[in-house]
Amino acid sequence: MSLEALVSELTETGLGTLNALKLRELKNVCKSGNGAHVASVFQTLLKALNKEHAQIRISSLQAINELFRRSHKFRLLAIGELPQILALTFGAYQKPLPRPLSQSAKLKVLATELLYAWVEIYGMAYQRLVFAFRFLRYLERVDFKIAAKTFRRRDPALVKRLRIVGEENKHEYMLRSMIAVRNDYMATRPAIEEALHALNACFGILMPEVADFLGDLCHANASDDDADVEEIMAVMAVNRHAINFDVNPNHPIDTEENSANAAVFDTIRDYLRLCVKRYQPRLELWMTRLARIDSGVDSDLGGLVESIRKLKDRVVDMAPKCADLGVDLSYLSHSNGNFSDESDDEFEAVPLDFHRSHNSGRKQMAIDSKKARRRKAHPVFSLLGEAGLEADPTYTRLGQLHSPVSHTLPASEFDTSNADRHTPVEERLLQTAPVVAFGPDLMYWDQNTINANRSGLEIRHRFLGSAREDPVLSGEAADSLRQRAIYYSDVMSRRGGAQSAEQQEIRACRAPLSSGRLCPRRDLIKCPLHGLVIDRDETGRPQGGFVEAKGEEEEIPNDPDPTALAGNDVIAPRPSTIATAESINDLEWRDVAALISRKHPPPSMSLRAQQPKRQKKAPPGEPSALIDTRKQNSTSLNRLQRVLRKR
Amino acid sequence: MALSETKRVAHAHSSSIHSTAIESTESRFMVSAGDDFSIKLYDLNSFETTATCTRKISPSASSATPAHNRRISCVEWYPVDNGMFTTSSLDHTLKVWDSGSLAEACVFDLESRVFCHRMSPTGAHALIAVADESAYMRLCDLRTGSFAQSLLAHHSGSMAVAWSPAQSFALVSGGNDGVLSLWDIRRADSHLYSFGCPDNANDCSPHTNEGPVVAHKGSVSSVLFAGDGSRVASIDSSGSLHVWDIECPQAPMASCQLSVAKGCNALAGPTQMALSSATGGRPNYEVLFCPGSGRSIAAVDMAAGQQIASLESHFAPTLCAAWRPSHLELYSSGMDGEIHIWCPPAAEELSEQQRRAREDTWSDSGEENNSIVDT
Repeated sequence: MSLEALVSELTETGLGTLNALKLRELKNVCKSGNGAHVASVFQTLLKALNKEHAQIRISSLQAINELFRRSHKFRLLAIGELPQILALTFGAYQKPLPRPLSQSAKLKVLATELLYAWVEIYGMAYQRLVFAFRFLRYLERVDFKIAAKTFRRRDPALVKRLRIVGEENKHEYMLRSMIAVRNDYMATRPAIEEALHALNACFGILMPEVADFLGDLCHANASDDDADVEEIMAVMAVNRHAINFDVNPNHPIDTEENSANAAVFDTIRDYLRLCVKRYQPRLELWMTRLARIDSGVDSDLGGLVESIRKLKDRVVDMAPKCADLGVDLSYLSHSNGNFSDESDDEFEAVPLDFHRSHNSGRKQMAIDSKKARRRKAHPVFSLLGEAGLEADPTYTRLGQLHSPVSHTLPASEFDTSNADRHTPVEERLLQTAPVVAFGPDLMYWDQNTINANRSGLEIRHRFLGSAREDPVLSGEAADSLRQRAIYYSDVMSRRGGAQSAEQQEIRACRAPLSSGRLCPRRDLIKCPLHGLVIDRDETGRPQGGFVEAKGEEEEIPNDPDPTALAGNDVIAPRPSTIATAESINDLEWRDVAALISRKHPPPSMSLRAQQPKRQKKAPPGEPSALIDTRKQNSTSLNRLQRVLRKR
Repeated sequence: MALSETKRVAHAHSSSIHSTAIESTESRFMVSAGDDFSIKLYDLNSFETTATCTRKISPSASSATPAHNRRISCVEWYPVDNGMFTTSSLDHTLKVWDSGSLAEACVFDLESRVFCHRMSPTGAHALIAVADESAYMRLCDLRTGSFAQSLLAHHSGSMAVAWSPAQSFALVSGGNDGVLSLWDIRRADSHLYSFGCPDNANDCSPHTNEGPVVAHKGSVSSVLFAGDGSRVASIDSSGSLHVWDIECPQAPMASCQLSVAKGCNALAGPTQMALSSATGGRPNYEVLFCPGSGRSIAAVDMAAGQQIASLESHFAPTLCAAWRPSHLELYSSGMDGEIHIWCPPAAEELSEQQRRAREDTWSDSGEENNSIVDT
């Protein structure tokens, strides 16, 4: 087989890998003749690389790579043509890569990987490869990081070695971290212990231990195991008056800060500040650092963690204890410069204020809200809670606004007054009577003399004279008042069964908008942006159950609803002109259009179009996987353009 | 000549290099400068050996702050000794530097963009001929620090200048209008003659009115004197090279059109050619290395006027070449900011590692470097 044919077969399969047999043949060609044919092979491959198809270029690049790694002569040839190869595979020198687009991206990735591998393996021996690499990296700004990673990972032994090294480093780092924490802890521990000890001593001064009171009694009980119960009872009976503890459940610890205790309280505050501001954060930091270390790093780790945790618990306990004693903790949140000794002194003068400072901020607010009797005013309806508003006829309660139907005031009055006056006949009639919502027409139904509204009229005019007293509406005007306009009477609800316009709730579209909200447009039928108004859940997703529009249109004539159709003009169906036309001119286009469809041309014209297209015979062997670059992807834009072009 | 596999210059410049110069006394130091406004000084004899057994030459010094405000267009060593070099730049200045401390010694302010400057290689005087954008070509005197002479050279400016190595008063300038002129600075009317034939392109002057004498169709980008001063080589931006005999300026002695690689635009700026001196055993054999926009350096035989070879190693248009006579090396650089070293391949010794990498490996057994990619 000729060289060109071999190369074209090798490169034009469109698959991602090269055919091993053909590749071996190519290698044999190169080997044969003592390297005489290497140049021609290279030239043929270069021509294949020049083709304007990304898949062909990928295959030829793979073939070039194979030979590159084998033959020195081939390498020299390839390096001589490097600028061209770079232009064809990387798109260097602003040469765009050919279609199909997805494959051209793959081509560039492949080229990056291969070139990096070449530079790593052969760069020391062929200087121009290094220059090519630098050119691509600095001038064309090609990213070689992924290629570098792939190259380093290609050898499993190397990967393992790297991983082991990485783990060793991690181990080393964790060990060092633990040692650092331990040193820190050892250095600071005495100071923390000292602070805790001092605080406990202060507590002891302020609040004697309960054990001290019992003192001898406890010791006696503890040491005498054999003592008789009766003996103990006798001892206890002697101290009949016993020891009284005044334990106030609200203030279990009854200490007040006064001039005598000032020094003690000062010490407490200082040490507490130290504990909270300095030691506590550090202890927490150590804990988090130790938590990051794996348990297997060192045997001391568990013990270290335990001791730090215990210390931290002791330090953390200090703050609530001090608060119970009556130390105002607010000074801790002040800036370090301000010492709040002065403010404490202020509180000392007025004990009431001092007690209040016990409470935290949250408690204070609760007390205030309880004390407030007035309900919070409504921002919009300021008269909401006022008494005596129901009697005011201009006042509408909030609930009434949503149901305009229930003008129940006059109706309910009538109902309640006439409830027991209904005869059985009337009741039966009432059951089947149609319900009409109350409106102004019903209000003026039975009134013959309707007073006109004079509120805007001038009664006394300079020239025209004065208006008549008590103008009354004329007969026509009164009749028009008793009429009621019905809108949307011919609208059928899509839910099946028509409802009157007033009963029908105008639904909101509620389609999800790109801003996150739901579309607020209200319409009975459809929203101008989102089409038909359908049932949607809270997130705007359509709930099932909405029926196709077409189906609905067919159903409606079968289901006549007398209440909705009352007073409507029923449009009589128009007979098709095809049936009634006497000549062609009488045909209406809209009847005929459906018959003359572009998709189905009249039979007389489509003889040729119906002949099946003769397909080109596919070449024997494997069908080609090459993507047809001439075929355009069908995007919506393309499809629309095609339709427009056809018209 | 082949690209040196054992030596390389470190990548020092971040932008294109417009000029390199190797000093003529010792052939040891090289200065390079270009678009990144800095000057780098190299000691070509000192290198560090890298892991792959190549010798890497790094800049031994570089100017601390930007040496100029604009691109440095030309660098030249003082012909007499290597203690001083001069740089000229598009920021209208010509600066004289002390190479030991890399400090500015003197600044000449010319009011137009400077493209090229040269000093006489004979060393008889300290005049620097400056080719710049203005119609006047000025001679700066290093001894006095001021301007000595002005030659009304080319209307649209000049980009190339060369002094004769034989006569200290003769100088050739090439202008943007394609005119190549010979000057004698001792005379009052310095302009001796222009090389080339009259430009008869415009047909509206059918009479004996001849147009200006023009050497090249485009602007002259580089001028070089041959070894003994009897020949001048000039090249223009479209790649046509002419070699002239000084005695007969009417027609070039030899000319050749250098191939420009397809798809490359012609460079419109000054370039620097390099001349190889007598290469071992053949005293009159001179090779001219011409950089061009075609990413390659053309090696031209001066006597025959033919292109011998094309040195391809750059990936961007080449701008300058410098010859190192002691080692017979060529240092070429261009818009990619790299200096490539060329030397005769016989002079190189590859290391073991390199030799192994250059072998053929035809084994068909499974290799770990299997690169057939599954897409």
